[in-house]
Amino acid sequence: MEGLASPASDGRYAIHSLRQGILDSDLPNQQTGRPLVPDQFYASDQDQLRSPVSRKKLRLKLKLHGRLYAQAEEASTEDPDDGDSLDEEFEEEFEEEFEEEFGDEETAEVYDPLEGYNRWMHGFNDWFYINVGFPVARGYRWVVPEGGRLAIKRFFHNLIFPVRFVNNLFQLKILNTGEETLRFTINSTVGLLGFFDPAKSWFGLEAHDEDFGQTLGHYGVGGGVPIVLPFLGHSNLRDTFSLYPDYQLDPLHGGSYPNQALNRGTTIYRPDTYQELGVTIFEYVNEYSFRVEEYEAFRKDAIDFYLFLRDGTEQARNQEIKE
Amino acid sequence: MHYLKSFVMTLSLFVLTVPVIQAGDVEDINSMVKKKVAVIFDLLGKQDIEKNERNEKIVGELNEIMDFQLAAYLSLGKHWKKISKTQKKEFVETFQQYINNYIVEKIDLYTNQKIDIGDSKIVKKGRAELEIGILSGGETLQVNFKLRKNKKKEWRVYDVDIEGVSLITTFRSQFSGVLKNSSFEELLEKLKNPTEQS
Repeated sequence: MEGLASPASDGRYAIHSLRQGILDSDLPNQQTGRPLVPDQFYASDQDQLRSPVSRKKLRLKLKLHGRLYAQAEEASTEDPDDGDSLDEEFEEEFEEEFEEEFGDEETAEVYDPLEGYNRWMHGFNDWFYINVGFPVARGYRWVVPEGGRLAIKRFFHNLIFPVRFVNNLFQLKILNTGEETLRFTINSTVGLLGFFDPAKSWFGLEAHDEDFGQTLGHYGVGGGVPIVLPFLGHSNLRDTFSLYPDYQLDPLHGGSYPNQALNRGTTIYRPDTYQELGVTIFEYVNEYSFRVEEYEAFRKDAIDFYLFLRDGTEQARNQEIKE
Repeated sequence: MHYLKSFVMTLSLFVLTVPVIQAGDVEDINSMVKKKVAVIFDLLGKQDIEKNERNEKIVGELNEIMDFQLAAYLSLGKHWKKISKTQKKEFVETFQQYINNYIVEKIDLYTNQKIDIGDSKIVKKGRAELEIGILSGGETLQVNFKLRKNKKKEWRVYDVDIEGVSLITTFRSQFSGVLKNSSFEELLEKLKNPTEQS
């Protein structure tokens, strides 16, 4: 183990020399104590590294020796800075360690047969946000203070309670369904039509956002191919189909079931197409007003913004389904 | 008899040391990372120092708790093996620079929202998560710092997870998307000058 006495001022060399020491004992024709160049180690030992069994053995050995060695090394080493120097050992070790965390996403490339259309629609949406949506949202934000915009956001959120109710129920999340119902009752009355959220601030009742796409995901339906929807942005096959049942439950849209029930004999809200469109646009502008900077910041330094949004959306949806 | 004794000894050693190690880990994370995170958010809220100076300080603090080498390796994924050692080195440096710019760009998104730095929890041996809640727009934005203990027994951030969206994974798909159609040099070039695109 003379190899250990060599340039130990650098932590990297220490490890290589250690490896060298072990290998020297394995391969009798090699001299000990010759200059320790990391690459030589790898060249001479490639055959051994190729087989996973011996690789594992080697690693075990290294670990064992490393522990013994670490004590001796501590005194001589000042600051082995592995931030600057690339440590080859780390690849081996990390490959196994991070296999489950990142491995699957690497092997399974996203199947995106509509990529041509998607990229075009993504480009259109992007153009629309930057040139139309966001300027309008900025103007709107200039007029309406944050408190007001938050209240409007809460109002719309409260309004689509039926969507959350039904989908929580579909997923048999009974407690959440109850919590949502309580929230709707409290916020619609004490919370002045949902403009305020006393259910949360006074009673600590949390919202549980669920939609039909999440319900399907909950029962194991995969996202399917990615689809970029006009104006709405990135989605996938499952969530695109799911828009329809949720739309039926959305009280904002006339002719849907809750509306038919609510509007029987009243004329409070029986919108025609234009009104419906107007309300929807208003809702989106209000929503945009919170997200302008966010979108622009991520857009600015993305390497490929389409891929960023596609996979970011997918990850976010998967997280929502899990919750 | 001798074997039995040593077996029991070893077993009790394991049983006794495991919780001790974990408790130490949490303390280490608190002193190494959590403190720094608090310092960073404190700097973020500061309006009285010059912006560039403040941003520089923030990036400096962040660089101390980040493991760029690991982050770069994970972001490149399977392509890491295909490039030479010098390229790897260049990539890690470029990546670090890119991340620093990336962070500076995002700093302005923070406008004194309320921050709740949660407890760190050990995920498994040598891995932990630090949960941070950012109260924004009436909702809590959940940000997770993923930590790994390196060989020097320091806890370092290798990934940031925002509402379930892992930064590394988004880089990973973007990088592999670029590398599908263009060379490694072109990716480096893009990292150096991320241009606006439509």
